[in-house]
Amino acid sequence: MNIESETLDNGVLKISLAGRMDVQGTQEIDLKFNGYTANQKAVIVDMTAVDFLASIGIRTLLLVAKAISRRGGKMVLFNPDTNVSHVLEMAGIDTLIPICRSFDEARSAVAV
Amino acid sequence: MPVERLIINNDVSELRRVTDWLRASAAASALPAEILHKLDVCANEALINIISYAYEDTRRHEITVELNATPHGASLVIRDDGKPFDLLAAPATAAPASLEEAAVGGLGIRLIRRLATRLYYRRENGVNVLSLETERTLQPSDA
Repeated sequence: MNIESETLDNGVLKISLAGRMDVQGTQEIDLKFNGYTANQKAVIVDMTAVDFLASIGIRTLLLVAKAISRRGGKMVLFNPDTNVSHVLEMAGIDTLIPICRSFDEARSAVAV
Repeated sequence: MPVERLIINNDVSELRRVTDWLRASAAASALPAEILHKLDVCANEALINIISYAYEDTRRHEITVELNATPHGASLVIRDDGKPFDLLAAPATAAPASLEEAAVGGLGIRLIRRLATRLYYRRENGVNVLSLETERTLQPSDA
């Protein structure tokens, strides 16, 4: 997998994930994902280029979202594809980590 | 569609090979993308469970995966010689109500139960046999 981090205005951090978020893929980005988000309070995770999500990937998303929430911040997922959205719904995660379909919606959702 | 069969070792590095095999088999049989995706998730989750928890020794074990066409989708039959484990009898974890209380365990089994239309388990001559049937449920326009 690939991971990129971009600082936007108003203290918003955008994390772009790409690839297959299975055991191997998640291991490839896990450390960087935690590192990039370590002190952040407003994080948008761009899921557009993630074409597969397994429970190990959901676990990583949950742990990062929890850590951000604990310091009073918020993480949202932006634009996961149909298959990935379906997995998030089936796992019951879409009610815990908001899924945003437009980038403006994502920016508003993480605004402190 | 003839029965397709793949044998892997109990090693997580084999999971990508399973996905490649599923993709090739699905293409050869013109399985819909939605079915392929459900099979891919279910196979990943079931196999990682077996590889992580089924064996009490450190020896190499073979796991057999079979793909069959069904009238409305496809089924996977997974056979392992690990300790008996009935996924259907495993305790169900409720969907978490908040981020703070969200447990990070049990997600794989929940995904299999919700993505598979039908699940069957039997123990046969010292082997776990798990059958997973998948069907299309999304609207064609969602695929």
